[in-house]
Amino acid sequence: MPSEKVINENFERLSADIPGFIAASLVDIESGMTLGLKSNRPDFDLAAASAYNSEMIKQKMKIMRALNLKTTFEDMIISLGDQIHVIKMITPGTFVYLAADRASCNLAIVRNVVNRNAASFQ
Amino acid sequence: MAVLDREREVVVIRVVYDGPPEAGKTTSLRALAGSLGQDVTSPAEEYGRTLYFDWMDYTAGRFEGYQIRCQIVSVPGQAEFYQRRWRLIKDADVVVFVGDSTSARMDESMESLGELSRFLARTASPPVGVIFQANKRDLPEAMPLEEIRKRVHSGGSPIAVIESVASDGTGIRETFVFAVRLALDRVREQLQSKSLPVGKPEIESSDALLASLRRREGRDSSLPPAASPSAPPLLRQVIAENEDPTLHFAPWRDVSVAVAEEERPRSPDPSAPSGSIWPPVEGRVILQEAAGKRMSTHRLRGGGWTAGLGLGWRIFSGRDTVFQDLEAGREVLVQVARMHVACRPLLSVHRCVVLASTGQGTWRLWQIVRAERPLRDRFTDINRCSTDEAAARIVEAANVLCEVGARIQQAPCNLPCTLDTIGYGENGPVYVGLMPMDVQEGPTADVSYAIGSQLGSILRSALHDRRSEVLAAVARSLFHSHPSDSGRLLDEVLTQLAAS
Amino acid sequence: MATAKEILPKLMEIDGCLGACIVDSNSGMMLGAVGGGNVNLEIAAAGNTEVVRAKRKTMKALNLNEQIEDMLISLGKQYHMIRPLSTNDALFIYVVLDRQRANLAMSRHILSGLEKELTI
Repeated sequence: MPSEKVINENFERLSADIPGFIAASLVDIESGMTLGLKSNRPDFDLAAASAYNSEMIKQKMKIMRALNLKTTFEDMIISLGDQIHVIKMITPGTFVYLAADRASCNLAIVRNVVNRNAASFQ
Repeated sequence: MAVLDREREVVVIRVVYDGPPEAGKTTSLRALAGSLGQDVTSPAEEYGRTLYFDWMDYTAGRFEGYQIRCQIVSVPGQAEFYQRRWRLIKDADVVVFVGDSTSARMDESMESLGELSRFLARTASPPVGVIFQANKRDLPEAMPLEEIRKRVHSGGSPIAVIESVASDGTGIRETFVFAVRLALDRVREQLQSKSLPVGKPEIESSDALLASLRRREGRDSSLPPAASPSAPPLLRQVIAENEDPTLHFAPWRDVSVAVAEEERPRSPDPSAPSGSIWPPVEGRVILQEAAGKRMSTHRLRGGGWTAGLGLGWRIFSGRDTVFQDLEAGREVLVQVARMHVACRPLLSVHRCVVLASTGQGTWRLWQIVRAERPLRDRFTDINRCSTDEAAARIVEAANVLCEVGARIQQAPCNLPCTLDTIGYGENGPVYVGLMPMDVQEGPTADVSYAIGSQLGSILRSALHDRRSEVLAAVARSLFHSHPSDSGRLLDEVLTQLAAS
Repeated sequence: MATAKEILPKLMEIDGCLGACIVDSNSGMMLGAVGGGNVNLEIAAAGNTEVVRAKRKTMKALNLNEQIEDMLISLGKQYHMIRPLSTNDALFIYVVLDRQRANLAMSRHILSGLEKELTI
């Protein structure tokens, strides 16, 4: 696990590479708490979003276990009306959550940048 | 103390930061505060020292549909707040132990961590997780992680080790989030066993915690008001309340009673501030020798406290010789010191008085007296002595008691004259017991009565089957060996003995 | 306007498509399915539409008034794409793609078009 400082620096890099970057965090699934973050928008409740998304992921994993789905879940990209949300699993216990403005970027870019930087969060 | 506050839709957990002073606990908490964007409050801070605790409130994350409200508390590190540490840890759902991981300080860290583990093993159910936040990793003397892990795990319990450099925030947040997870594990267990309390948390703010601590501490030590001239002199009070008044002056013979860990005052130790030891220099030497290592304290039936085993040194504090603040204690210390000086020729040499922190925010006056041979030692095997030998010992003791008793009569203090309080010092018979804590006025103790009752009880018990023979031998011996002016006293003594 | 029956085969024509179905998230049951291979479509669909519900709940709690256009999940060797129907957000088109053969952007584009055609 990198230090909070390194995590935040990673997000700096990410935000520079993703036009329309809104916010991102490294989230501990179990508690829903963030281990590091960056936000360009104070009105975007990143902490709450991280917490809720961690519950969603927990539920997903519960379902996968219940349904005996053996495949490993890597990431999830949700396209909303004017935002893209990415959830990228880093370790079985943590994920990166990222939100970006759809007007300025597209799914391919976001996916690409997040995947490229994923290892730096391990 | 986790609680499910359904109304506010939060689960409330208590995260406690523990660790020896200077290990980086406060720095860690400040770094965490900066990282989480929260404020730290330190109620009752005096001259820059945390007296009670540091407090932070942080709500985030999610657990089973509830937000997680973390009450983050760091315990005071200074030795004098030792008891407060346990009170605060008792309410923890998880403990982050911040330890200085440099080679020189690891022993201290491990000792303190051991105390923590033992306390939790005894008191926590379900078990409370502990994380060892190995701090100061940036220093060259930092012990290698593998070695730290080995030492931590050799204790037996699964304590996670996370590295940190509190001064620049490294590892702080990570440790905290991991701590939250451990706390949630415990909450989950409580949920499953249906033992998780539901409702509003008992403590919601730093002020409430402060008030709670004060209440709990007030209950455990019967503190006399800081200045109360109408309070009865300690001696009379003690005599009135104790079965055997002489026990007050030779309490090492009293029976020790069971006491909860958090009620024990801390034993005195050489770190006592200047001005709280008498005599100033010799006292420190004695303190170092007698109380250099931390000792457990024991409560006696009479309510007083002893520390250590009472073998070479006897360390004692009366039930009520405890003070709210250092100044009140010092006043009494000065009085006691004056009394010592006034009675100096009578007293055994190796003794001191020290005002030490109890670990509960109060101060206790302790006496440390080197164990000298009391007269009673001469009677431990008296039933195996010949009649003549027994008589000789009785006479010897009577003589000593009379002689010292006479000297006590001349002195300003009213010291009891008993087989336990009088003994052989380096230069002859002296008073070897404890000093009464207040200045005595009034009639001095009746020596002949003391002799009669003390020696009489020996005759009755150890020598009961040879009583008359021993008495006869005593009479013969006295008749032959005493100058006239003390003869009358000894006549009285004989009478007492005969009458007993 | 096309029916499920007509749309499903068209979905199979997407490069790398292994299987497709239309799911009613309320019941978790498929209204129609095609292909599948070694993917248990019904189970995968049931599981992942649950995730959509969870995400919607999240967004509601955060006061995000947006609609989910689609969700892309990367799983091992596959992509699973979920697209709620704009006419009925309880229904989803569910497509499983082989990662090696599929082109994400293309697949999304086609899926988007087909969804608009669908009437149920």
